[in-house]
Amino acid sequence: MSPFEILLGRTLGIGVTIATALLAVGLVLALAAPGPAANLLLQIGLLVLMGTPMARVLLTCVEYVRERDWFFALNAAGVLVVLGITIWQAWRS
Amino acid sequence: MTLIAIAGVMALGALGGMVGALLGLGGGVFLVPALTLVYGLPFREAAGIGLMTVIATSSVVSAQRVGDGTVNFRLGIVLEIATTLGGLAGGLTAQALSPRTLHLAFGVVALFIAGVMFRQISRRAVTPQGDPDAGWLGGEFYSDEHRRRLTYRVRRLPLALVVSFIAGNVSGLLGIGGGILKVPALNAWCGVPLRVAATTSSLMIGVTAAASAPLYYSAGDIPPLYAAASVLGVMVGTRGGFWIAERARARSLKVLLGMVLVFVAVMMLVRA
Repeated sequence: MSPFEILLGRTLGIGVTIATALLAVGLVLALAAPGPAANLLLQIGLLVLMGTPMARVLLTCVEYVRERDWFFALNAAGVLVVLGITIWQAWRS
Repeated sequence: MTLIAIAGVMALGALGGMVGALLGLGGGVFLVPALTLVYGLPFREAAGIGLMTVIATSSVVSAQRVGDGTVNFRLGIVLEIATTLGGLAGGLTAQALSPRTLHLAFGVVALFIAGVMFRQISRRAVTPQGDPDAGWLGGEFYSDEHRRRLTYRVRRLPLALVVSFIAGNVSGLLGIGGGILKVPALNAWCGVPLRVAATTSSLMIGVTAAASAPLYYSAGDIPPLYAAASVLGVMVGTRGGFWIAERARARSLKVLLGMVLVFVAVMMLVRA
């Protein structure tokens, strides 16, 4: 297990922890005092959750570029391109 | 009223997560039909919520499993091209299909998954016997059978890519993880040890779901309150499921839950 893999694991762990915390607080707030603040927390929580695996792929790409492992860097970049198309499609609609 | 509805969704999430963890399915396969059949949510909203729970489970499980050293990150990133393309295609298709077609598709896929599950129960996993050379995608794993670390090679990569694309497509279309479709194929056909296939798959389903979730999000198909309740429920349920899985005899439980899945599939087909 390399330091790089530990970093990837930690990124996923921290991302999902932040997202769940935001969703939990947002949910409680939405029930206690519904309003824009609660909604904002929930929306950010959902976006952080969706962004967590994307951040992992981004870090993977950066690491393979740093290692000059071009084949895997290209693969990671390919996944990022697909994610980019998804976000662009979502943005457009 | 809202409180009861939220608590109910959270309970469904916990149940789905628990059952998913017991079967190695991820929460979506049970949560999505529960949300449509029990709660009457539109299918696409149930699928959107399912995707969010898939991302959460994948991240939590991967963060824990990285320490084992069984996740094959290089194989993962190669197959993720196929799964994310499949996810994107599935997400776009889901926006165009009628709820009836989606219910139908879910029923058929759930029946197929139940079939794969029953086959897995009666069949032993393929343990690679050790290769002199890991190749460019292979790696090492600890074999319980040989009681030492063995090297494995990844075979038939094009086949693995095709299976990954299909699994990604199903994930984006129906809001489930799709791991159950990849893991047996990677193990039986591509020479990947079962544990490596399972952990690498649980890593991949997160980014796969993230390749279609934004489409659901922007279409307004991820209701924030229900999604939050489901994610929180699934997080608790998954932990509970792993706890039970370590202590209970899994076999009869799997058969029972497999039959529940068949029942769910039939309900979805009837609904369609």
